[in-house]
Amino acid sequence: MTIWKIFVGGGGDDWFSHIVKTYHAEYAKMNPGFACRYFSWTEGDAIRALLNGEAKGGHVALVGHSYGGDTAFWVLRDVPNVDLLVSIDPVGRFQRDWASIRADAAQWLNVRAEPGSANRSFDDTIAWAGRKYSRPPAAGQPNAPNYNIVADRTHGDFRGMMRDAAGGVSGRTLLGGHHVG
Amino acid sequence: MRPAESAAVPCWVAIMSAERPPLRPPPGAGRRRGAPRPLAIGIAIVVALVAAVAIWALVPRDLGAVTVERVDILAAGTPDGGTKPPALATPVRLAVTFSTAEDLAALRDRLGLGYVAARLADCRDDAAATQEVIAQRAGYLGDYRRVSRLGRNAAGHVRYRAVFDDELTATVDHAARRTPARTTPGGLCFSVHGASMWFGTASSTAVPLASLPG
Repeated sequence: MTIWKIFVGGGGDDWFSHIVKTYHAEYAKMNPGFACRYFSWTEGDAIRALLNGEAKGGHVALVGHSYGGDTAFWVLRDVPNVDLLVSIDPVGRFQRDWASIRADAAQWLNVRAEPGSANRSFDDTIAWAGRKYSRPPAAGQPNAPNYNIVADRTHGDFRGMMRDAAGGVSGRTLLGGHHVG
Repeated sequence: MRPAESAAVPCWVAIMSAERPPLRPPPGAGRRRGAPRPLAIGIAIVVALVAAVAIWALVPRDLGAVTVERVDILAAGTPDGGTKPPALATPVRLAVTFSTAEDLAALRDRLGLGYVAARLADCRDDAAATQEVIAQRAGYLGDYRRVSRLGRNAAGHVRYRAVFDDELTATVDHAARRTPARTTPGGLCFSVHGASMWFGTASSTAVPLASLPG
């Protein structure tokens, strides 16, 4: 069975920051045994096509940051055969509700950035303006993610949020393979 | 026009003018001809602000000049002082010692950039590039401590040493030949590059590495 690791970058990831794009490139290089792909948040249809085609029957992990998290949520609605969903501070103009995401996600880790004044940056203002997802239901509540993390980090700190753990579990550990720094 | 008609019209106008009070201009008519409406001023201000933000966001900022002092090829197995995992690093690496007029961490902060990185690219194909983090606000990119600050030179410029993987030669059978980056077809250009998450890129001048060691 092919193991798929699919990364979805947020707004500007292609043009400016390359935050998720470089993470994917490093992860793919360190884990040649996995089938790794990177998509922009605008490529939901291409992700659906991959999941319905080449990746069908494989073990699929879907990681989305910012607008990419929202894209992952919407892809999941149409193609629910995703084994792991990692949403890193999702932002979306037309949001799905937590109950429907919970219903579609097998295993799900969500990280929400709530920076203190020391870590706050302009990234957070833009994320707020782009309509950031609220806190999901807390652990033990209905529709809560399996792992629910609130991070004192700025919105762009993708790598930091991949490292943040709840009970020893982080996006990085769930993703498996050799860890990217 | 018939003569009777031409004579009748002035008479009719005179009667109407006499019987009715003079028409008052509708409210706001004077403003329409003279000063623009407050709404129009508001729209103009918003448009100007949006344009200013767009220019601020999209026009690359200048990180100034970079001086390359020396370039070294690091043979396989040579320690480079960084923390990049062996699975991610290439055996042969290229060390570039360079200097800038301003401390780059301070410059990143001053320009509000998310990160600043040292960059090595094919001079004829800017997309073929590799980079190492100099300074960043948070975990935007992988920082493998491959750029070290060496202090200031006699001119007061800040000196750095950046170690790059030989990524660019991967397209020319790097795995088999272990060829150093100097064989990149377009020649190598060194620069400093910065960006924010959504907005704002910044670049220094690109310096062709003409005097690579043999």
